[in-house]
Amino acid sequence: MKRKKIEKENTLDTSKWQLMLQNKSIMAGAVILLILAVIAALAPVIAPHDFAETNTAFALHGPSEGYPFGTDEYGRCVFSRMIWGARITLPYSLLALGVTIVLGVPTGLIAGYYSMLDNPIMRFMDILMAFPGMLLAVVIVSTLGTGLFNVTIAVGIGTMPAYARLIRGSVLSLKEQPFVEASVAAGAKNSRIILKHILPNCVPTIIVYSMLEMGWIIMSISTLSFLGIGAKAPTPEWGALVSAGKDYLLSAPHIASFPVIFIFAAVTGFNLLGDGLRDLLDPRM
Amino acid sequence: MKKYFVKRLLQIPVVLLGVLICVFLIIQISPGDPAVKMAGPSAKPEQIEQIRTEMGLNDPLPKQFGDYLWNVLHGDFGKSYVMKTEVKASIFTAFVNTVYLIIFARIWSILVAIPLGIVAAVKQNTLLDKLSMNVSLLGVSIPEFWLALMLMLLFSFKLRWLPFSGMGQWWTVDGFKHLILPAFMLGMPQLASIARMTRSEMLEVLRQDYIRTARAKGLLERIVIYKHALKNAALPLVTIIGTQTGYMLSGSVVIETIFAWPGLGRYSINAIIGCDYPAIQASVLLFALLFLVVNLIVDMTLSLVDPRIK
Repeated sequence: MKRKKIEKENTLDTSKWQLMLQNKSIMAGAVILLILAVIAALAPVIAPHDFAETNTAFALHGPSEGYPFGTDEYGRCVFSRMIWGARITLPYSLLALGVTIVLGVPTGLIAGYYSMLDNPIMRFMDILMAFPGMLLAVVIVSTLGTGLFNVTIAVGIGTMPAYARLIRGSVLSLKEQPFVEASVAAGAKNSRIILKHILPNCVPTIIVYSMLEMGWIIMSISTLSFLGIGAKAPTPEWGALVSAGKDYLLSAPHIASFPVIFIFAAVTGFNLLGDGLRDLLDPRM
Repeated sequence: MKKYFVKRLLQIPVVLLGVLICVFLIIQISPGDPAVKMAGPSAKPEQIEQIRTEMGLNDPLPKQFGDYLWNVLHGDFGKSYVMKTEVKASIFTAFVNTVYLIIFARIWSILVAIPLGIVAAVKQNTLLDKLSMNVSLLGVSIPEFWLALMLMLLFSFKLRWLPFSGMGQWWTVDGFKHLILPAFMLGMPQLASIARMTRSEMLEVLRQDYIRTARAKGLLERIVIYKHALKNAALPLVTIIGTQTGYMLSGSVVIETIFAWPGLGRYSINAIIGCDYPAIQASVLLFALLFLVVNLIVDMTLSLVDPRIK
């Protein structure tokens, strides 16, 4: 039904923005992410307590007055820690995405454009891609050492091969397009062709894939922090929050149960946004 | 066929060598002095120097690598920095335990996912179909580790039906009880994708003319589905199952840690936290080996199932 609606309207008249606003998936995802972003930005204001504020007299209490989601073993407010966690997990996930883009896009561009470098670069990417993402991130962390920043870099590097492969594919098909041929004939330098002609046409693919990968990135950073090789106490990273609760599953299940709400929301938000954008921008994918 | 198999088999050591080189280099650039770690915090400088010579750390790099390679080929992965014992003793048990877990997880997920997919395809667009396919959407957004913890809470703590950690003795009923939760959690994430894949493949196959012929001939529906449709849908399935088994390896890291299953995943995480580089090196190597073997098995199965590859 969505398709029919768009076909009825003359697509030349409907602007990109209108198309996006009409897409339920994009709107749902955008709204969720907007809410999370606001929560993260306004954390000092909306959180009832500071994330490190202890209150040992009130430790391990369930949801009660002043503590909407209860307290952990040090008396810290779980709800507040979840809110402050938005300032940790989300920005670091975006950082990981940044690492992936900065590493993956140039690699893909070069591999796609310079066919001599294509094979060796892609072989290397294959070796990296051969390892399941999480495992690759774990191996990289084993080199760099533990810690949230290292985990972020590791996850960024772990996602990179898929990106490079994607961009390379785009470049390969774009290379054959007439406008590229025209540029070459006009005597444009390679760098100009790549930067001014090929790269802008890759942008929709990059955006869609980024949104879809963000879900995985957030999951990975949380999982690695949960395992104990990421964020260190008392950083309220969402995965670390769940980890802190796992020793008190029976006595205080609320500590481990609630933080997942935000993880779920963030991942779902990005997935919805990515799915919607993919339907709009890149039907070939 | 044999030639293909041998060729693939020969590729494994080559890739492993590459992994070994990467792993070796990784350790070289890592912070920390291995000799200091081995010696312990209260060692005197002379002791540290002696250990350094013993461990061959003063030798040129290629020689160190050569020695390491030689040792690895003999199954010697060095001494753990943390436990001061041989790595090979603890890691092979861990390796076997992980394989055991993965096999069970794979079997159960296939046994459930494929029939689920078939049913969803046969009863397309009914409630059952929509239900089973939409549950998978949730599965993607909920963190594995959280779900595992919740299951542990329910089955181990609240209901007390199942033990919450460890492996038990595998040949006993109690041992089997220890297996249930970890194997379930390990196989679960892929349940959705395998079921979906089965469903879409079956749907495509069921549209084919030869299925119509089979039905027109008067064959029992059951035979039509299993003997004719499933065999043809099997190909892409095998590929997907193979890829998913790879993901299981990363899943094992999380699940083993949560359920304290004494496998390679848990071993490697502990090694990383403890900066135990010989153990880390060995873990990475074994993971790579496991991964390559799994891929090999998948490719072999594929060539067996697909009559076009001969």
